[in-house]
Amino acid sequence: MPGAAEEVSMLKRKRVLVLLIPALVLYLGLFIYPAVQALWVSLHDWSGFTSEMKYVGLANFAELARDSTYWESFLITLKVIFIGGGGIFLLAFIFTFFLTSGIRLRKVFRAIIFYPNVVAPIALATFWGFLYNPRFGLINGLLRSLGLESWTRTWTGPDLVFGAVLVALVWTYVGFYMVILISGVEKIPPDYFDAARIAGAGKVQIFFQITIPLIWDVLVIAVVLWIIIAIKMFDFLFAFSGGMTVPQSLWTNAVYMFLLTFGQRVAIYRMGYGTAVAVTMLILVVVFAGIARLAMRREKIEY
Amino acid sequence: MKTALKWGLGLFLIAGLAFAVFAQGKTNLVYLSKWNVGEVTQGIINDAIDDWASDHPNVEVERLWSGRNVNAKLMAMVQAGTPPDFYDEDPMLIENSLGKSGLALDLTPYLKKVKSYDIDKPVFDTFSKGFFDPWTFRGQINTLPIQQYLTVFWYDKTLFKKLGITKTPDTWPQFLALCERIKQAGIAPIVMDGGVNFYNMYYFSHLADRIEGKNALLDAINDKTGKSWDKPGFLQAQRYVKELRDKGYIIKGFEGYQFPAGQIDWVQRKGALLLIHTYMPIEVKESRPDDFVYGSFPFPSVPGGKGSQYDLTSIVGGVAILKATKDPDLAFDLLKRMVSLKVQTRFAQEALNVPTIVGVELPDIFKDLEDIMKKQTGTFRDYSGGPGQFEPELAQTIMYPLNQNVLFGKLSPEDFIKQVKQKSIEYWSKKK
Repeated sequence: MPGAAEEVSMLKRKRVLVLLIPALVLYLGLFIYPAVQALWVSLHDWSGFTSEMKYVGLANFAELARDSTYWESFLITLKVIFIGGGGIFLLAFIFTFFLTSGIRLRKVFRAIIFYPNVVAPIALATFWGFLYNPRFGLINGLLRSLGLESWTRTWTGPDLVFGAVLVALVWTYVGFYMVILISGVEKIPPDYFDAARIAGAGKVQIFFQITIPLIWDVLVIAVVLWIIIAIKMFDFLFAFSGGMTVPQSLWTNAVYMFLLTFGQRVAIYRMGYGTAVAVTMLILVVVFAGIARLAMRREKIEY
Repeated sequence: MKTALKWGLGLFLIAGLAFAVFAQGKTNLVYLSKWNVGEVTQGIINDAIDDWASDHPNVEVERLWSGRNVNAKLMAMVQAGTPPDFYDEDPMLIENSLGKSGLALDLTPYLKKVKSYDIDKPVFDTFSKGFFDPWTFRGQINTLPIQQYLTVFWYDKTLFKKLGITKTPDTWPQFLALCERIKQAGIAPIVMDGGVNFYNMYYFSHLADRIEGKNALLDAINDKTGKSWDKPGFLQAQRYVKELRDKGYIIKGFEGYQFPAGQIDWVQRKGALLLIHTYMPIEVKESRPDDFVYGSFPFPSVPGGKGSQYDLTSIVGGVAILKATKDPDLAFDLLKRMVSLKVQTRFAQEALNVPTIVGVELPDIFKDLEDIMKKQTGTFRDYSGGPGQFEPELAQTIMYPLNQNVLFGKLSPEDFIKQVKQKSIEYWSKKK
């Protein structure tokens, strides 16, 4: 016979389950079902316009394995994740360090750095496109006005466009990750810092030995979030190139998927094959997020 | 008070019922368009639909102005089981989406049977002979062309006068001499948007067909053995393209130009020559200096080449009717309004398009073009994506990237031929 306390606990659990149902239904309907459906579509040859799909088994994935364009786009995706992510987190740490060290006007600086995140990526990409314009762009204009004509470059040309876009991406996203890290830092009880200072620790020492270990969980979430954002990166790259054609050096997996399924001016309409690319992106998210969590696993510090 | 409320409620119900009955009696047609609200073409199409709708009070035409990503919207509507009645896009895109899927209505019987809105002959006969040939797929016409674009070199007559240039080039050597002269005057001879991979095919494709003959490039693209790429004209064509780059005839920094940076530079006289469709003048209308006078000439011939200087590329924009439409006769009745004299004249005068039907006066800016069209010896395939798209996957993943690499100085013409041949063979073997 269960005791009274156990009965209350069972009742609570049932109530929780009932309350979970609407969210569960939405999650299953809007995420799990489309994901399973995408997996099913990826096993077919389909233009997206007919009611019948031709089942081809794993042929789309076999073709992907031999598709050099896919592997080039995969490499570009990896570069966005690691080089872009490296830049973003390096700067986010630097800003977090300064903005949590008690400097004046820190809220103003924080708002300025966060600002790009309240602007639509399309507008940001267009703005950066103007900055980089080889003829009338601000960057070359500034260099010319300083008498540094020889330093001017075709920033959006095939050699530099990827680096140019990475700089723009770092500028765009650094504020978001900085805010996440700062919110973690602000949760740390001030006693820890006081104790460290009394013990004679400097600001840098405190940052690396107190702050970072105590916001480790937050950092892991931020890294996983970036991996997801980087893998599905599309809108910024599309808008950066004026919406006509995305330069091939910016074809991430997401851009390649778009070109294969819908395209725009040059429409390929291979919905099944494009969906296979999407499935590999999902796998990439799961694998990379898993690796990130494993690699960054540490003993939990509670405070 | 209660009585008044009852009366009010009763009247409200009756009005609602009457509205429902009235609404049910109306036929609803859905027009899905690639144009955005505010574009000149959108305004003309919208007015044409309004005009037609005023003659058909029992028909409601819902208009979805969806912009250039309209194909994604079409796909979603088809998959949801609510396809539109009309879809306006480029014929090749229509063929690759609706045509091949069997969703497009064959317009041939309607074109041949139904009389034009304001000309006393069937709609088909209001077009020039052979006009529909490039847009006939598997014996079926999916699209009624409502706008036409030809590709020519554009220049500013005022600038040429200032530079003392009195004659446009007829041959490639004359063209190179012209470029040199413009360069010596301190102006970039050629302008192009390096970022637009399909427009950048123009120099190679024109040269290839001028040397090897009309549609030789298209034949090579479709050659599953890849042997056609051994024809010397293709290598020569890319060598000529490389020469333009090596001699500094293309505007500095073009590799990083994103549309429409190049054509804005051109209309502001930073560069002299622009090889592009006839839809360019409307796009630069706002940036054009007052004394800018449009001039145009066809792509020059190559001495000893098989192609003619007056073989032109022509592409069209048009409208398809979906098979699922409730009333095909009614739908075609609306569609034919787009190729009436009145609407075609508006396309020519306001949207600065070349009309698709015969007998419509061209605007002044197309004066040179009119002369060119009179001398036209044939039409060859355009390669500019969209309406000119050819085997889209091969174009996007093989042809355009390799061509870009030659233009950007990253690939030699010899390696271009080697790679395009090898990759084309691989591509076609994959498609077996």
